[in-house]
Amino acid sequence: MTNRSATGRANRCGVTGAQTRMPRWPSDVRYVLGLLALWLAGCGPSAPPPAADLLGGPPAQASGFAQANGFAQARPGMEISLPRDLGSHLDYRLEWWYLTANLHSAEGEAFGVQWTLFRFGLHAYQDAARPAGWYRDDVWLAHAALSRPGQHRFASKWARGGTGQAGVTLAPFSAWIDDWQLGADLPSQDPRVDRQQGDSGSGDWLLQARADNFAFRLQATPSLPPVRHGADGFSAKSSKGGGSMYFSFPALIMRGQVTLDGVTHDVSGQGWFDREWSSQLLQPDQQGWDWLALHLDDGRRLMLFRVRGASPFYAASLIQASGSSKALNPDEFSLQPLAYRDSQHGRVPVRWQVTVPAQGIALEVSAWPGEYWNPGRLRYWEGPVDVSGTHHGEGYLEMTGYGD
Amino acid sequence: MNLGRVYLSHYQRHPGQLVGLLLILACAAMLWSGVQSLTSRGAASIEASLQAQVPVLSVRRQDGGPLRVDDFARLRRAGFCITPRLDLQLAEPQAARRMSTSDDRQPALRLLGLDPLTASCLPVPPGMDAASEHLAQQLSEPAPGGAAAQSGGAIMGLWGTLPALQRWRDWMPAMPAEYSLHDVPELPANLLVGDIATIASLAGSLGREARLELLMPAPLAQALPTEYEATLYDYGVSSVPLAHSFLLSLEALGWLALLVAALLVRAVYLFAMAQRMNSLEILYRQGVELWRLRLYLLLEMLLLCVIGGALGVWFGHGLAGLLADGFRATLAGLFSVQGLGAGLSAGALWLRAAIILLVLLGWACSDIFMLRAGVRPASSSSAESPWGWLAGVLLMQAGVLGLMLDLNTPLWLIFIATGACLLGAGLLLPRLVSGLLQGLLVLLERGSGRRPLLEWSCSEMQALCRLLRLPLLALAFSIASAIGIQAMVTGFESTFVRWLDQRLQGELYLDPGRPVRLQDWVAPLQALPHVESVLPRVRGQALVEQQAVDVLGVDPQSDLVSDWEFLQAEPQPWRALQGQGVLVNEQLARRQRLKLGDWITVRLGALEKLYRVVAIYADYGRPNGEILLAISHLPQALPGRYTTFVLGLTPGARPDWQHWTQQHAWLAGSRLRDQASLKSAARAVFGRTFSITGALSGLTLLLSGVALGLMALALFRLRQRLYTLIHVCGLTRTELRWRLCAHAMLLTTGLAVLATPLGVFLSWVLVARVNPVAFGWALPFSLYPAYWLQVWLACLLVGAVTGLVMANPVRLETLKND
Repeated sequence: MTNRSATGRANRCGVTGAQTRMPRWPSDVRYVLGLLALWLAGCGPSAPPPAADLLGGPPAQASGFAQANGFAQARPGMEISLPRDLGSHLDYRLEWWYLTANLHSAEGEAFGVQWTLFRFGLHAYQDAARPAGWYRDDVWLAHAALSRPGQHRFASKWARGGTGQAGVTLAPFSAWIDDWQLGADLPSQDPRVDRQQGDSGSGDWLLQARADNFAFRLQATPSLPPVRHGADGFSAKSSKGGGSMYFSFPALIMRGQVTLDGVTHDVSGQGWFDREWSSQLLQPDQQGWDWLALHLDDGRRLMLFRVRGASPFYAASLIQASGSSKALNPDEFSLQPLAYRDSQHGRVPVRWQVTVPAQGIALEVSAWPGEYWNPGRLRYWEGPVDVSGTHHGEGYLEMTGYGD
Repeated sequence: MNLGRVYLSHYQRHPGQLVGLLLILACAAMLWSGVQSLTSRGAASIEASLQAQVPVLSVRRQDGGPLRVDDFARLRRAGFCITPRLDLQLAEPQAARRMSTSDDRQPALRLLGLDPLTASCLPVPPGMDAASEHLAQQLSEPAPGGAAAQSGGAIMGLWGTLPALQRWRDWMPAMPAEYSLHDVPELPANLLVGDIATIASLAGSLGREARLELLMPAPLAQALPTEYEATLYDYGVSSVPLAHSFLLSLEALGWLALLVAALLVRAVYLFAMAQRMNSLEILYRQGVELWRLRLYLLLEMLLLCVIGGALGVWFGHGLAGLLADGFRATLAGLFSVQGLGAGLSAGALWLRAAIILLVLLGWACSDIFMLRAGVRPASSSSAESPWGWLAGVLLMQAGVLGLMLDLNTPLWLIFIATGACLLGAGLLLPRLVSGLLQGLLVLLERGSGRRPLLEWSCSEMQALCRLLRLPLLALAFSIASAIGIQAMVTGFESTFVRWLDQRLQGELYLDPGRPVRLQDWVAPLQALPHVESVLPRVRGQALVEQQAVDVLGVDPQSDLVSDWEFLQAEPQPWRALQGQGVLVNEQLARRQRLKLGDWITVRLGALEKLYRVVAIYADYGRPNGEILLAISHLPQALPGRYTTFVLGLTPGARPDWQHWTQQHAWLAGSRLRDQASLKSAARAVFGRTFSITGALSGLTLLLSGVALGLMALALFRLRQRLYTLIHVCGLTRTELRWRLCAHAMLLTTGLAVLATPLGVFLSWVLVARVNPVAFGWALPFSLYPAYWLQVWLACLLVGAVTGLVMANPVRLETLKND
């Protein structure tokens, strides 16, 4: 799932967010935000800002905006086709390519890596083969974060669609913004890799990002085929309708280097790649979500989320070590917070109980010590977790809609 | 009786004194706070432009081709922090010009497209920050409805000053309403800023080419791909030290006004104390404790300070408002510092003014603590101490020595040295006047036959000179500064006009409005009716000894340069220009200490050559260094190359040049102006520059004149008993009155004459020492006796008015006790 990316997007594209933060920001940031707001005038005085609409807002108004700007809506019954759907969906308002990884150095140090590329459409368009130029059709945003227990580094980049500064290609697959990229690398030589991922459209991927005080360069090799969440790829976010198209590569073999404060570490581990697109995610009464992607030590993977609202909405997928997957009904699993942590942005649940009784799974999931906020007005928590209980493991926890 | 009421009763009896004190305090606070407000705002904007002017690199393709979006993406993907700027020049359309009643074509409107998503690579350009704030405000209160629906939700905004926006409306009446316009006064004139997509689509709809620039911060962190090279786009801050010097000059004028005011306040207060001494003595003898007398005097001073200061700061705010436009134009015109910053807040200004006024009053009222302490107030000492002479001479010597130092003396040291000279002169001048009168008296006494009235006049004037020492000194300083500033301004004006005539020879100036090839234009221009000569002028950028300079290329054989005058030149510099000669402007010569015959390395784009300095020319009005080369030496790829033309017309011919751009298609989009209007525009800019200094010196002179009048009036009242005695001795009222009037006139005029050398000295300091540091160029030093005459006449008038207001010097009742 990845309503999460919507949060990150909303943090910055949300015009209201830019305004309210502006007075406290340094002048160069205000400048950028102001001009961004200028640019995003396309979000429009007469139309709600896309983020606000995506995160809530009356459905009629939201769909009105989407229709006025020609956006398509994700619906049950739509199909996911690979490798096509690794590429952009220009007729949707929001989409993302989202990779998280739990890594370990030879010395036993643990690292977490997040890299996300968002695309925000200002209006739908189809002509992907238009000449490069200065357009006002979509915005690209990337987030990169490197975490260690008690430490979290974050950076972001912006780009305008249509110039080639950011984009996604299919053959070979590559998603980039400036010199940050996730894309095809050399074919995998790793004997552990099961060649079932034919529809991923590529062999190994190379993930690289560089910021002032951290960097990473990692090879990611999908070892399991992609998983379509929800109803064959349509992932509902509410019982009232609304949702996204959502699939994942739940098992990536990761290896490479991370650099923190000038010190480079050789690392390896496992990663999770999400691909999701939508034109409307949340209902007005929904405040945010808690999302977990877990790698268990028996080779199984779990994705679970809870959308918090008047009546919480739950969804989950269980992926077997063989790669087969099953969407779990809400009565087949439970996801409950056990303990909270007081953070700089309010109380957040950092220990969770996860059970899937029919599968013999009863887990306690704990966030690493520290805080893992990615900044922004609608800031979100994106941090690694450890798993204990009937199984051991690791994964990532994302939480949105908490704090002031 | 309440002590406060006793004190108040003094001012009730002498309301003029109260008004005088308040007036002086208010004027001092006004001048000082007005200048402070302006200079702090100027300093804030200089600071802002300093931040905005870190060196910026501009990327170019090695093959010379125009940059495209692909180049931007390629460099971004290679990890360079590049931000694009799309530059679209809009000339005034023919239709708009026909509607206009004026013959003058308006300057082109520059539309600058920014990419906010990558703009953080570079610091905020001045005014843009305000634009973004403004935008945020606008977006937080979105207008209902709007044009979003028609344009698919894309409202296109343009940000600029009101005149620029108005021109946009006038020039583009047919443009759809989807361009929302926002006023940002801080942006440079003629500039509209918008999103890069807005400008691109605008260029597309107008069918115009917009020029793409790719900018990045210097220095380069890694090598650019081989197809590209980086050139310095903005050299940054070379004019900033000059702008600081300018502000310091202005502040020094403010402090001079304050010094004059301090002298006046002290003088007025000493008079008031002299008048009140008897009543204070009576109060003391009645049993009022000394500390209470002092405390109430202090409270009185504080009250005066608060009222005068508040009035002054309020007036100062108004003064700053009046002068702000000229000041802004000066900063922009001379130093390329756009707009005025926020500067000091009203509270901070008021607090500073209060502190300074308190210091000023503290000095003025220092005698309060000596009340009845056996120390006589300074003004009552009649004996001239030799220490005063000595201190005056030493101070003047030290000051003159300071001013004679090397030309690279910092401005503050020049001011301190000048201050020492002024103080020395202040100590010497009254003694000199007194000495002269004493000498006259001795002569009269030795002369054949006693002339008692003349002797009395001499001793009376001597007494006046001693009693009015401080206000006279203030007047002397005001006279000196008025003479000094006038000499500088007039010298500047005449030199500048001569220089303009020289630089703007020929009748018409043609700006093609776009980069053009020289050879394509010269022949057609010569074929235009009544055009006698064509002088192409190429401007660009170069490096001289690694310093950025402007380049001006002209044809050395043209008739239109033959009359140039140089500050220094070898014989036949224009001929030398065809070889390895180069002309440099005064600013560059001063900065790099160049002299005739020096060899300098000049980098013109990729070309680097050695040139020999064959002449140094005056170049007023801007701080940049400039070199002048023969046009044939300039490479086609000269950075920033831009060609304009000067056209000489057949004498007496009046061609219909205003319509040439319509009659000749190849001239469309270009701009023709007659040189006369250019000259008047340039003179207007410099007129504004010196309106501030003129206003300040005029106000200071007025203030000291009025103060002297008030004080003399008070003094005459004090001495009424003496005058009555003279009357009793046989002098008629009218005779006495005219004699007193003559005393006043003689004294003020004599002072003005004696202060004139001080004024000349000040003008030399301003022209030869302050100006090169503050503005980057020196001016010829000239004397203007006609203006001295005016000042002397003004002083004569001050004396006459002072004498005349003393309506009746005789009051017989003052003698009733004798």
